[in-house]
Amino acid sequence: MSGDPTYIINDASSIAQIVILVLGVYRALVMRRGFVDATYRSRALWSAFLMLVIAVTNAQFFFSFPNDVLGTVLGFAPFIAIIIVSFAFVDRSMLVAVRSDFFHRNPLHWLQLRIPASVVLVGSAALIFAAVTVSAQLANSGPGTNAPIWADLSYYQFFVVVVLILGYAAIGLIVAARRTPDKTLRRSIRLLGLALGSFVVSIVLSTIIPGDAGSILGDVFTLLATYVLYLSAMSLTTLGRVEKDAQAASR
Amino acid sequence: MSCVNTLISPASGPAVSQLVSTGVVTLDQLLGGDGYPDRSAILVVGPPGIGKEALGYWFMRSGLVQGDYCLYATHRPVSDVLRDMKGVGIESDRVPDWIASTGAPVKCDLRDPTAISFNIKDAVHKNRGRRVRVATDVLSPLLVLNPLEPMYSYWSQLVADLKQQDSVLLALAEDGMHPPNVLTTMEQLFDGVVEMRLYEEGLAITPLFRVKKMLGLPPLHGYFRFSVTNTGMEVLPRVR
Repeated sequence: MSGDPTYIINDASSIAQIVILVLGVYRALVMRRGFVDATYRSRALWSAFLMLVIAVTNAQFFFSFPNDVLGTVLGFAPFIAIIIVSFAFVDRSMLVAVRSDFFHRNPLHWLQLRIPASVVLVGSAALIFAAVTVSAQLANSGPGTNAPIWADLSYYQFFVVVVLILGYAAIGLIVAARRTPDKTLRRSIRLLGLALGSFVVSIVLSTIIPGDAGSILGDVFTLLATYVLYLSAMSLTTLGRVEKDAQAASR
Repeated sequence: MSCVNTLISPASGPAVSQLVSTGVVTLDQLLGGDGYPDRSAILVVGPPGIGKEALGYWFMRSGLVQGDYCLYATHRPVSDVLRDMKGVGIESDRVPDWIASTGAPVKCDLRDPTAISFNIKDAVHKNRGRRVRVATDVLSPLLVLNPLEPMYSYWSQLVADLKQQDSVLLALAEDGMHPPNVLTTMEQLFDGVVEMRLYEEGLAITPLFRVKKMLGLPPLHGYFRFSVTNTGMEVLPRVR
């Protein structure tokens, strides 16, 4: 840890995110136990998984991985995990939205496309994983060795696949949310969309704005996304408050 | 334990009402004996996924075991309901009659509430002389798709017609889909109202069950824990 204000802000932001996410994981898992319906239980579980993976990604900034093949792969794994788990959470949310729609309409043919989309996403992730591993091996084998062209291309295909599939899923979620009459579920899906959008904005800002400004802006949006994701998890179902008068009368 | 028992009033002596098993032993005990009052309409309120349907499935199951006529009117396909039943440990060796969106001889079309009501009453009247159990999840969709006033009259008429016969109606309502005044209005029509919900106390989140009112019973204050597993459902006193 350094005395540089940017580092301090980065670290404080990461710690705050980890605390919020761990709390969110706990609450999502506790809520899952309260559900009877398998679709709702599954959605709560994937919500917890997503927050856990993001928490682990944040936590890894406090550890330095060795500059070898294993270190590179371990450093890259959480990013892939976030993409895969996001897809799973979005898919579960879509199924819940379809179920709560009285007419069980199929938003943007999601019920037919979800399996092919998941196969393409996992295949694409496996390819980029292979590319990262090969590139790291070549980099460690000495100077002057370049990554093969397929490894370079695999980076591009992965981002195209992610943008297309998650973008399509996000539009499907908006359509599905409009069709569900349950206001808690609508709020949850809307917040999920906002959280994913904030993550994308944070990645874009921290990439295109050079220096500390980009880093700090990225942190602000990541923190916002984390908090909104937490709120989304809290809206997995309506939560009641125990009335004190009924409690007292029961004694 | 018999499905139908007689509630004896200690003060007056004679039978005042018959009871119909809920299908959940601990809930029967909680309701002062052996279940819901006969010739009654019960409303189960709660958010999606909490287990309202499970209560309906156990109610149906209990009726089928006892030889009652059981009718399940749902806006979902029969295959979905059967899969859910299996998920809470109810095998499909005995199934109720269906009014459903697909997979049933009688179709449930939410755009035609009159047909739904007619079909329910027709099935019940054809089984005059038998105890009848009806469970339905169409209340919330109809309330969302239609104005409150005609729906109040609709449900009022349906409940009154069913209560002419030896029957119990169990209606499931999604509380997140209606303004509070709509549910409060509908609760007036029903003889019993039970609420299932996740309650938040600090960091803890607990599934609790509340009997807001029940015909023939004094007000049941307080909350009860409940759990649904693939071996059954249980309602227990809440320990604080």
